[in-house]
Amino acid sequence: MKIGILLLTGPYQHEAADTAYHFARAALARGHEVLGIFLYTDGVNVANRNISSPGSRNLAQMFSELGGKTRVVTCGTCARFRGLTKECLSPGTSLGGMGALVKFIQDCDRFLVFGGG
Amino acid sequence: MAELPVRLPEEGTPAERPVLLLFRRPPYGTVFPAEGLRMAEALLAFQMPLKVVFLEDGIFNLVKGQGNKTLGFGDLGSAFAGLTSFGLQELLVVQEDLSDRRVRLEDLVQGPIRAIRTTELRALIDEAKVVMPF
Repeated sequence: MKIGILLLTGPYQHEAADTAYHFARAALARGHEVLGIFLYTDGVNVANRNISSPGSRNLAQMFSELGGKTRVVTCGTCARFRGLTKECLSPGTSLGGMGALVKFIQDCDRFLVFGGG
Repeated sequence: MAELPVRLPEEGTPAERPVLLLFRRPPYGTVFPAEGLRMAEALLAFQMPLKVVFLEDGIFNLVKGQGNKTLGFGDLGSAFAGLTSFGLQELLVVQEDLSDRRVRLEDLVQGPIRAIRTTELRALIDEAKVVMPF
């Protein structure tokens, strides 16, 4: 199955980012194709390579690891609003536009949203 | 773990099934209504089939006369009504949630707003390819 993912919530205040990560990892392990993860609103902050989380899971490293297996696309506008520059991004993640999200939606069999209103 | 079931629609290609944006949050308390508006504009710009529903406290996004320039916020209600210029045919609002909050249709911004019942909302969720809550 082809799966698209949208993350709408930032790291550490809620667990949506953790859940999205574990879902994507499990889906890949089961042989599903994760077309991509689109980071929107505060969700872009999981791509911040400067995250330091002593004694706890490092979500930037976790999503960077996923970036080697699927596309992790950070909404460019959301990133700009939050001062997240290209140089701040973790390896395996990239800045992109809404066109990437539209492509995930068009090409997937299932689309999951984590976090949000 | 069981395999994820694949359920595709019997009619229409997946690309024809709409994206459904659900606006559940009131304006200004969080970034979600404004970001949902931006999402709607982008999806319409890419000519994606889109439906937009306001429910629960999200109905307040459509109340007319809102906005506060002093705080740097624009009028979200007018902005939502402006989605019609991007090709959106109508804005849907859940009647039960209007009634519970004593908001009348005439309290809402000018535009093609249609009140629906929760039963219709259920059908819209079933029909949609993607549901995004804002």
